This record gives sequence, structure tokens and C-alpha cells, in this order.
Amino acid sequence: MSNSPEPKTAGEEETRRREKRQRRFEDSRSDTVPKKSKPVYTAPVFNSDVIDWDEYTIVGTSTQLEKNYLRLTSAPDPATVRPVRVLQKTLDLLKEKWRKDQNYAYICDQFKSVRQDLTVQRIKSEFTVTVYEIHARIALEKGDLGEYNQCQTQLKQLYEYNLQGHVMEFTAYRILYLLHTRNPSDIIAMLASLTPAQKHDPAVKHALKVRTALASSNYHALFKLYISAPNMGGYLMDQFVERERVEAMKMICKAYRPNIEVSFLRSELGFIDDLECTGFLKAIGVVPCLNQDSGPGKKRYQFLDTKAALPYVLEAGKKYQTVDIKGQI
Amino acid sequence: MQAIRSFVREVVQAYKQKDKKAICDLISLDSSSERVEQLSQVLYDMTEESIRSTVAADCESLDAPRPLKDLITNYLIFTIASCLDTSDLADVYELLSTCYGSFLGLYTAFDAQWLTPLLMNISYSLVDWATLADKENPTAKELKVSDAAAKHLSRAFNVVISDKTSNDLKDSKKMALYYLANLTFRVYFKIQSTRLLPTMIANISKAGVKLEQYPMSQQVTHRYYLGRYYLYQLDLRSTERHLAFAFRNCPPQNPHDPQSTNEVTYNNARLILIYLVAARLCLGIFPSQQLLRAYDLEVYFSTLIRAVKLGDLGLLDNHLDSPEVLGWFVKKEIYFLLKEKLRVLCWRSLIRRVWLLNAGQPRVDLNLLVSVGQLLIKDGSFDIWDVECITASLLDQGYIRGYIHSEKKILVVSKTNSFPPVSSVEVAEEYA
Repeated sequence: MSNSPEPKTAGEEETRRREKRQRRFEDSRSDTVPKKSKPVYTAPVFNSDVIDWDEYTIVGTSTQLEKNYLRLTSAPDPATVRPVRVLQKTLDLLKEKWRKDQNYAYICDQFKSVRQDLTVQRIKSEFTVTVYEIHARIALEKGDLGEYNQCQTQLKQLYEYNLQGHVMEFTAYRILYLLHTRNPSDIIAMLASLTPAQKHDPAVKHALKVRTALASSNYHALFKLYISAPNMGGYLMDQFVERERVEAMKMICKAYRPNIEVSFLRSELGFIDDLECTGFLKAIGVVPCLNQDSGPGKKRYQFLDTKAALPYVLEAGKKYQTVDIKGQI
Repeated sequence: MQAIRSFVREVVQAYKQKDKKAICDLISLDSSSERVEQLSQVLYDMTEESIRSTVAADCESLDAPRPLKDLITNYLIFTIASCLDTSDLADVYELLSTCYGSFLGLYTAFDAQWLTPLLMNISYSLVDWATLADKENPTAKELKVSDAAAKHLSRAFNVVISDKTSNDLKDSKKMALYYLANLTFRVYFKIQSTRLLPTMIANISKAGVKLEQYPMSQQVTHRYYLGRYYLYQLDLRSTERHLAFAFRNCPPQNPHDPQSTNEVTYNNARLILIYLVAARLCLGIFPSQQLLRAYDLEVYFSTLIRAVKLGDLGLLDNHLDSPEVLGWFVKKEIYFLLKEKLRVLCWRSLIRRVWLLNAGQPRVDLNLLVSVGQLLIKDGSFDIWDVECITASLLDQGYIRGYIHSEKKILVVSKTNSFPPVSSVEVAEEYA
């Protein structure tokens, strides 16, 4: 997604992006209806948030809000671990810092240490869900798929404990993520596991429509869905939009003769503006195939010679043969 | 006690003589067999401790190797547990699992080829008991079948595949290769995890054996699973190739003669046919009504065939989504495949019929297709862009030969072979 601040298109696009950033912190808007009010456990525990109560669980005593992340090689010293009431303050601090500084390396590091403190204290609560959800959304915004996938995996397990959270939102993300990795049996298994309630949720429905559009090579529907992606789905779709655009270009160049209007490409392939569209065409090397036609009136239509462009498009498509999943799984 | 001692003696003797028939009779996993009945009656009165010590003592005096002693001990403990109604199925599985481990201890010996029939029996039993245990506790974190496959079958498979002693199959451990592979595939499909299949397929191809050398039942089973796997990958040609072979080589079914029809083989043939029909439909090859009727599949597929021939998108969607059959298509995991692929073929039919109605003139008005589309799928938002996209897709895939003129909004089809027969069109793999 380009960040160029084009004044004339600032309105809709920028609002959409701002809304997306806002949503990250709307954790009061949970959409699950909890079946029980507390998780079920068999032995008495003194901390009602703890599931899997274990004699050796640590209870932290540190009051230091910020902490760098260090991979653990042995049992941690409780004095370095922050209890939940401190972590809650840390989370507020981190939200503020992210809004102000946008320093991803720092934020990611801090979130990992918060997650670690929660893990060693075996805290699996709605607060844990919130932490993972926020970190996941930040990772998405920065295109850090490895980190996002870690959070997503944890969230899937946490939701299975019936903890409140944005289950539908993240179910939709899971579907979109699988569409990026393109593993057919994973996708089939995922679809089979959806409940009717999930299938009726707008975000999940959207993701399922994306799946259908991809499976049937329907670029027209796909890019409409890209523009209307709810929550942060757009960031996930970003991961495969490039590949699908080249695929669509291939189909268009094979199907249309003698040429195709650039304005058609611009609207069909979900570009924000002419600049983004031309940027894409430049990147795949078809600029030599563009010609202008000065029609009547002020507008100048640009056409793409589809037959000439096809070899360039096919060449550009070669780099999308395999998927690269960066980072940890 | 005495019965146990003579049992141990017989087993040790069979072992020393490498008597493959005797060993299979003795280490029987068939709980309805007489031998197991007799054994269980004796074992019922023994404690686990006394079983162990009896076997140990006898093995010592007969100079039996330790892995054999372990096998006998674990086998007996498993046997009595498996015969009791009060046993927890998960526990029984665990006992068999231990027994299997001991067996593999013997089987890894380089001259253990004669134990291969027993390997096959015990492997089958392992998966069987794992399946039963999972039925009892379907929500367990780790399913017993996947434990069986991951821990035991893969080890056994490695032992089998690395046996280089003989090129003649009947003297080699490789005799069990496809049997084990098929069992493993069955597990993977059951737990819906086919990620490890390509690795297995690659390993099998390096083993230096040919599928044709094996019993037909194993060939058919193997091809069935390969077909299913390729269907997941949307590689329809490979799917068709394997499933067609499997179906052709099933024992012939005659529904009018109850004597000739065996329920198990009928069900297997039907299962193969379901996926074969699904794959072939997407390739534009239709089964006859008689065939569908013979296997009780008319209610699912007949309407689909009619819809594709007519190009009736509404009929296609309505049928697939109708409550009577929707659940079935989803369960068989062919719902999305059919919904998407047949939609494409419907459009191809539709455009072709519109073209024919215009006396085969090369130009097809796209706006006309918009109106038709809106009528059929009852969606007013269906517009020219949707039609252009679908048409472009059909052109790209080779179902129509021609081009779209964007300004004039027409599809111009080529003079010759404008709508090639669907079955002749190259179907590209979805995920390259």
C-alpha cells in the first residue's frame, strides 16, 4: 500500500487507513458471547485468571513498566517478572508510545517481553488475549508476518478456552493468511472447522468471498473485496495483492485485443489512484507498450497494447511461483 | 500357568525356526480366534507380575533373545486387556503400542524378513485399536491414530524401505511397503493432515519397487489415496488417472444380483467413483445415468450434469446448496471444487449457446450476457465488468478461443474451434 499523500485522494483512502489504526485499540468492542463467565478448573486456585494451575508457577514482583525481551534459558527470577496489574499499566504505556513514536523494533521487543511474563506466570486470561490481539494488529500493519503468525497461533488456542476476544475478526485474518500461504489442505481443513455463527459474521464472510474470488480467478471481485476489506484484512491481502495483480494482468493481456484502457486497469485492479497504477505498470516493465490517444476534450486516454505487453507480464509472473514465509512459525 | 509356559515354548520354537506361518498363528491379533480365547481365559487369573516372571523364566531357560521376551510379555498383557469389557480403550491401545515397539526391536534385525506378514497384521491392528480409542475420546488433544502413524508406522516404514537383502519381493521386507504406506495414508486422511504425503510419495519412489508387483487390492487402495491427494492439489488429470485405474480394477458390482455384491467392495468402489465423477465433471466428462444409478449417486450428480449442459447457473447453485445434498458434498470435501469449477463450465456453455442462437456469428454482445447473467443468478448487481472478467478467464483457460474488444464490448470468437470440447482443454494446476 503506497503512502504517497496525494491531496486530491486524501479523503477516502486516508480515512480508511486512520480507521484501521484506531481499531487496533478498540478492545472494549469484544464480539464473543462467553458461554461461561469463568474458565472451568478442577483444583482451587488463588488467581482466578490462571488455567493449568501448577505448583511451580511463578508470581512476579517487578514494578518496572518497560523491559527488554531476553530469550529464557532457565526459570526466571520473580523479581524480574511483572504481575498482571503492572502489565496492564505497561500495555497502556505501549499503546501511547506506539501512537506517538511508531518505533516498531522497540514496540515489538516490548510486546514480546510482556507476552513472556504472561507465559511464565501461566496467565491465560482476557488480558492475555488483548495483548496478543494488539501485537498481532501492529505486526500486520508493519507487514511482519512471522510475528503476526506467532500471535495468531496463540490466539487460536486462547479462544478455545472460551475467553472473550475478537474471535470473528481474527478468524477472518486466519483465512486470509492461509490464502497467502496457499496450502490447499490447510484451507480445506480450516473451512471445514468453521461454525455456522462464524460463517455469518461479516468479516469472515468477506474472507470467504476472497477465497472464492481467488479460487475462480475472479480479479474483478477480488479487488472490490480488497478495497472494502474490514478491520485490518487489507494488510493481509497486501501480501498477495501484488501477485494477483500480475496474474490478472496476464489474463487481461491474453483476452483483450487490440488494447485496453489504463483507466480500466486502474479501477479493476484496485489501485488508489493513477500514480499507483502507473507505478505498477512501470514495475512490471510494460511502459513501452503504453500509448496515448488525445481524444476530444481535456481528458487524455492512455491505452496498453495487450499483445506487446504479454511477454513482460509473463516474465513478471515468474517470481511468484513459491511462497516465502518470513520469520518464525 | 502351564498353558502360558507351553505358549512361550511354541513361540520361541517358531522364532528359532523362522516359521512365518506359526508366528502369525501364535501372535494372533484376532480377538475372535480360538487361541486368543484360550489364552485370555488363562491370563484372566494371572497378575501382570506373574505373567512377566513366567515369561522371563521360560525365555531364560530356552535361551530366547531379550526383544523376543519383551514381545511375548507385552503381547500377553495386551491380549488380556483387549478381551476385558472394563478396559479403557486408550489403555489397550497404549499396551499394543508398547508391544509394537518390542516387535520392531526384533524386526530391525537384518535377517527378519520372515516376520513381515506379522508386521502387516500387527500394524493393521495398531491402527484399528487407535481408531477405536479415538472414537471413545474424540476431543483428546492428541489423537491415538496420529500417534500410531507418527511413532510406529513411520519407523516400520523406514525399516522396510532400507532392506537391501533381496531383489525378489517375497524374500524382502519391502513386501510390506505399500501395505504400510496405505495404512499411513488412511491415518493422514482421517486426521485431515496431508502435509506429509509428498515426502512419503517421494520416499516410495526411491525404494526401487514397482506398484504393479504388488497385490491388486494394495494397488487399488494406493491409487485411491493418490487420487484423493491430487484432488486436494486440484491436479485433475492426475486425479483422474489414478482413480480411473482404481475403479476399473475393483471387483465388478452387479446390484441386481445380491450374491455377487459384497458390501465392503461395493462401498469402496462407490467411494472411488464419487471422487472420479467429481474430477471428471470438472474436466467436462460426464458419467452415464446407468452408472450413477448402479452406485446410488443419481440424486447428487444428475442435476449438476444437466446444469452444466444447459449453462444454467441458477440450477447449479440451487442444487449444490439445497439442504438434502449440501451436507453430503461438504462432508466429501467436494463442495467448493464443484461450485467453482462447474460455474466456469456453466458460463462456457451459456456463452456458447448465446453464440449458437445468433447463427454462429463471430461476435457475441457482452451486454446481452449481462442480462442473461442477471436473470439466471437473480443478482441485479451483476454488471458488464463481471461478464468481462468471466469471459477473460474463459479465454485465459482456453475454453473459448477469441478475444474481447473493450471499447465495443463484444467477444469475437475465432472462426475455427471457437469452443473447444471441454475435455480437450489443458487444465492448469492451481498452485504452481
